[in-house]
Amino acid sequence: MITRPALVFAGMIALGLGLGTRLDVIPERPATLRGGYRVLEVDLHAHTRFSDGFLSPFDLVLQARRRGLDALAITEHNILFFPAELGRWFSRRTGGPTILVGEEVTTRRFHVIGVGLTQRIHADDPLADVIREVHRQDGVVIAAHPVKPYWPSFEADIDGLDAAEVMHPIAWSGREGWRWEDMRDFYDHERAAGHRLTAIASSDYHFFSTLGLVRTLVFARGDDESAILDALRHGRTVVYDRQARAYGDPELVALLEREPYAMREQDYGYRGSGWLDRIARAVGWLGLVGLVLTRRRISA
Amino acid sequence: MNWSDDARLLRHPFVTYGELAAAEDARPLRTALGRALLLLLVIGAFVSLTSSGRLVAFHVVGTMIFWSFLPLIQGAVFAATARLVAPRFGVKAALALHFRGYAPWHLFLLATAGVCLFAPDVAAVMLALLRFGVLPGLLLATWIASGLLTFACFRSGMALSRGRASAAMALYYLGYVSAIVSYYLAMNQIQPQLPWAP
Repeated sequence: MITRPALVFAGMIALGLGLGTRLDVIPERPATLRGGYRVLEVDLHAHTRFSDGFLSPFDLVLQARRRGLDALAITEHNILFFPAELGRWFSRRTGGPTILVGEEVTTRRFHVIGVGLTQRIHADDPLADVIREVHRQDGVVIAAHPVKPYWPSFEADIDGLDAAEVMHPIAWSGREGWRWEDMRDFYDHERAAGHRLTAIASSDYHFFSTLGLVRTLVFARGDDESAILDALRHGRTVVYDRQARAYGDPELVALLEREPYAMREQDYGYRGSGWLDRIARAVGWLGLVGLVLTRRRISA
Repeated sequence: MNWSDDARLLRHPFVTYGELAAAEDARPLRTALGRALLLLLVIGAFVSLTSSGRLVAFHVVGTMIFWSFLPLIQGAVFAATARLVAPRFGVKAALALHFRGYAPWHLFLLATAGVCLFAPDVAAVMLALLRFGVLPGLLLATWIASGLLTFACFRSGMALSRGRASAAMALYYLGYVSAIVSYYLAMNQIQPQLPWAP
């Protein structure tokens, strides 16, 4: 049996849910052109519930739309089809961003991302074989968060890598043994040594609001998967670090200096869209707390 | 204030589990299902609030569906354990008792979501909570409180001896954690990261 306070709290949850759903306006994604290319905001590293993320593939697509992303790669640890294909299917039916099917090949020696894949890559294989297999599938190989412990593996097969993450959320928080500066130094060092690496910024999304916190500006001839992969293969990207230093194709960097591109505005700090939004979520949250604490079985 | 069973269990786990077991529950399966749904609702709300900053129906319902494996596995493992250690105690009644013991997780998830919604600078507060060990400490406290409630459920709710209740609790966690780890092993997500991997 449900008590009266519990009914009140359930009503508060319903109110929070109704208003929250109503106020969750997905922003428009107007196309922007620079130098004859579409400028796409892309996040190439995100996880779902099927590895160590919180969101389902459907929720991830909705979150990507909310974040104003034009494309998103779903890159589970060592698995491929089910989550990414599910996300792509859903996105196509809801007018969401372009979903690239990917995999984060995760080992103790290296993490690499393959995007544009059609078959699973085996994480037990050496990096050279992983790279060969991604390329055989016409995919693109990205060195994921190349921090110092992974350098020996990446340097041994540097010519096979198409791209490297230069920006990552560890630029804000750091992790045990992981320094963002290592990623920047790896990119700078390899470029200086004559290796052509496409600059990538990815959020390595698992949970909370940070999807697209860092994102890659991709200069593509269209917004479909093949156009994005083509741009990545040819190095047509620009990314910025926290100090607004630009990485990527020097001509495109210069182009953006002449004609700046404003990233779509984001609400990573849960500020909401006004007083009604704030009230709605406070009411919903309080309703949940109240329901947990006061729902009482009368017979007890 | 009429506190919920969940809240009373947090304050006096052994006494409250004894009272709940003694009270007549005509429909224990309904109670268990209702409580499992409450758990999923809290998880759904947590994911929705911490990703979008709002309670969005699509996120809440979607998460409830995609995370339903959690109470399903926990319920199945708990039912099997209860059947093994206390065959005379009804499985439905045991599940009804078990699913009332989730207040530590409810409060942990809602507190974390509350920080996201109400902290003036969420990133700074979250980083501070992580750096000073508050969030990991809270997570550990939640695990410990949850373990204590599971033990109290076997000991007072199902009237098992201390030894049998301890064994039952160990069996339950072993079964539950094994089920979760099995998925990651089957997907080859753990083996390539082990120190002895090639």
